[in-house]
Amino acid sequence: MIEVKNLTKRFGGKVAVDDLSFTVEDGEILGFLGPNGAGKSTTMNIITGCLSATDGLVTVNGSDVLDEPYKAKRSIGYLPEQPPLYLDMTVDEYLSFVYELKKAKQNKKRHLEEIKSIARITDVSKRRIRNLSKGYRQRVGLAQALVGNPAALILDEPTVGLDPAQIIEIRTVIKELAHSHTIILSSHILPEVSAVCDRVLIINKGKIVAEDTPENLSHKVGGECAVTVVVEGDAEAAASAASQVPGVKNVSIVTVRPEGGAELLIKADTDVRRDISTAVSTAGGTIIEMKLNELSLEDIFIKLTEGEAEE
Amino acid sequence: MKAIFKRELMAYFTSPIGYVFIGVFAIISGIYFNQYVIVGGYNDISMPMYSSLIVLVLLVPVLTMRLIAEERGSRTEQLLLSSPVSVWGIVLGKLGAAMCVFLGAMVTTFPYVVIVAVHGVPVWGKILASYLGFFLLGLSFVSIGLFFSSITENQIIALVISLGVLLVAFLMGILPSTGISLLDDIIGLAAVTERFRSLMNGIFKLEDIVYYLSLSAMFTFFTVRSIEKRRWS
Repeated sequence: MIEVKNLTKRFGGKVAVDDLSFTVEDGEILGFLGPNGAGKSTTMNIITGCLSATDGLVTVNGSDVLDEPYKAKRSIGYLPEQPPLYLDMTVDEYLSFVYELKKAKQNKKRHLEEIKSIARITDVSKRRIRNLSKGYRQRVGLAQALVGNPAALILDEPTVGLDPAQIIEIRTVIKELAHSHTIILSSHILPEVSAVCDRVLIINKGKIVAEDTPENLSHKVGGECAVTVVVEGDAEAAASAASQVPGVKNVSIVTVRPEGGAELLIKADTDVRRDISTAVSTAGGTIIEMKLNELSLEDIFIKLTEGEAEE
Repeated sequence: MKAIFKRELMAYFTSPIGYVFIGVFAIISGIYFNQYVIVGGYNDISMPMYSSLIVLVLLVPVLTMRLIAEERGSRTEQLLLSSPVSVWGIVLGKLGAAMCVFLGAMVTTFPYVVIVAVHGVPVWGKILASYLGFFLLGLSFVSIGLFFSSITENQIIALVISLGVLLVAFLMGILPSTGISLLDDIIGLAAVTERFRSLMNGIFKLEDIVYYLSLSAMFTFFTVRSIEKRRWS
């Protein structure tokens, strides 16, 4: 659906996007993750034709963004970081303008009604955008991207600046849209990406640092497995029993509970939960809680971007 | 282009700008027309029209200041650039909308033509030439204003620069000869309002018409380039 090849963008001497290549398959949701200033918005602006690349190729639905801009732009709906709203227009006037601007072919009235119900803005149709709250404005921006029913949606930080309830609402809308659209979504909020996306692309300083599914990323970068165990009874004995288990590298007692028992953190090469359970109970201890700690995207993110910084 | 034209025209009349432009022009030009045509008994509208030029110098920047600067400031530019419209389409749509408001202002002078026609002996050739000149001058002013609106995202800066440039162009027209022929030629080229003089006297000179059209085309082209340059920089 969207193919980006060796994309480079320089602003004067500063390299914003550095030889970036990736593809997005039909119907996929790709998460774009990176700290502020990593080049996420620049990449999105280039894909949508708002900016021109210094070097590289972008094709959307088989059309080159430079050679066949109209064809490419017709298959993209874009919600920039700041929704491009004319504050002096009502929601209806605005959507009707976007409909004409994008030269959409659908039945106008029905199409716009449909979009408004997807974005949940039907109740503010007649109000001026100036008077809408930030959450509503964001949804009007999303509605604008849906006009003409483009195959691909590019959403630049769609939840930034919204309150938690609004964030959940926007995410629900995006998930609903995912059934029928290819989506690229950028964010610097990690749980958001792992909640919504099929695949994550972590970029830093204009380069791809990692690319995989949210689950695989945590395995890849983790490389090891950590288990938290809460035992009753003699903590020392349980700890020494656990450290005998093959594969276990390190056992530490995190907290000793005043009522007896302790919380242990066990690090191992593989998933050793079963063996630990057996070993501890053979040693006479009782496990009352056990949890496999997967690395969160947060950890991965910090690890990857820190690694970059050290180089 | 049509969508942009429609939106711009609507924006002029949902904000006070369109009304202010036409209203202020109608009042001030009305005073001149009243003095010349009704009080003075002239059968000619070219003199009051020439006097009204200073009003254009002051008002056209108000008309054009927001055209592109506002799009940049509010980031709506990204919507236009990611839509299947060419930069030329965007610029011409905006130019067209501003020219429509300008034509609206021109229409407010028609009653004086009617008064002249009913109570005097109108010289139609002169009247038509004056209107043509006034329109071409307006087109040049609007293109210049449009260009200065495209180089900044601050409407006030766009207003001040285009006001300054138009004022200088106007003053060039009433500058006495310096006696240095090269300097006089340059001043003559910069004196945008002076070409109007021969047209208002009923003299169709191809040179003047080409001058206005190429000036407008040049600044429209600059506007397109200035938008495209930002995409490439």
